Amino acid sequence: MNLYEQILKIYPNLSEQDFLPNVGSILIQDDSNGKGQYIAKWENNLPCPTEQQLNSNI
Amino acid sequence: MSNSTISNLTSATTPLAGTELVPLVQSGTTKKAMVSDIKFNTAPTFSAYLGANQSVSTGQTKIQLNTKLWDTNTNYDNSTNYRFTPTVAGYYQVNFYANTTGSTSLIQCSIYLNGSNVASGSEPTTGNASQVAAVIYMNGSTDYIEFYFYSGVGGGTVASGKANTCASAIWVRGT
Repeated sequence: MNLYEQILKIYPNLSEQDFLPNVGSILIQDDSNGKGQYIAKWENNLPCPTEQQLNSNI
Repeated sequence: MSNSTISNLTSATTPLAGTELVPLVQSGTTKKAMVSDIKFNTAPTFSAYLGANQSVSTGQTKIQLNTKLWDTNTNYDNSTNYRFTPTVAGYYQVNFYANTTGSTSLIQCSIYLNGSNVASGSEPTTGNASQVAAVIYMNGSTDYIEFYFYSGVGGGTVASGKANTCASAIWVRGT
């Protein structure tokens, strides 16, 4: 399960539009440095999920 | 300067040190300048492409452009950070295009300056190709650019090959 899917598990009402670059309120990013994806921006009114929340949905 | 033709002057010892003085006309006035301050055709330019297909998940992913076509000033890192850090300050024309192997998700190319998105292609659209071009100022020391690809739900695969996924930059003018 990738990070997008993990977030959707927590907030199923989020849509793909929320994740679009520049215009969306959430940005998932992978800097190709071996560390994988992370939340680079969270400007949504919903609280940013914690690591624990994300991991509990794997 | 006394009257003499250039052909009658003694030849300078080469290579030049850069501190030699030459006369030039600037705004109608004859002035002197050091040879090291005269630059032409020495500005950095690079081009690199994706050497192997790269899988991407939903979100922005830095594209690992690992195969150089050219890198005139050895300013492009094609093995660790996949970034261009020019050592000459100025404005750079930057180009980036990427194709997928057949993704049907939303896609978009972006250029990042120092870790922030500064130029994106047209609005994310369903398709197999995206491109972006911009003129970006870089300070010639710490500024760097990287190349990201957005993939929507479902992710996808960015296609390898210089005809598919490639970036380039070239200095166009100084400060």
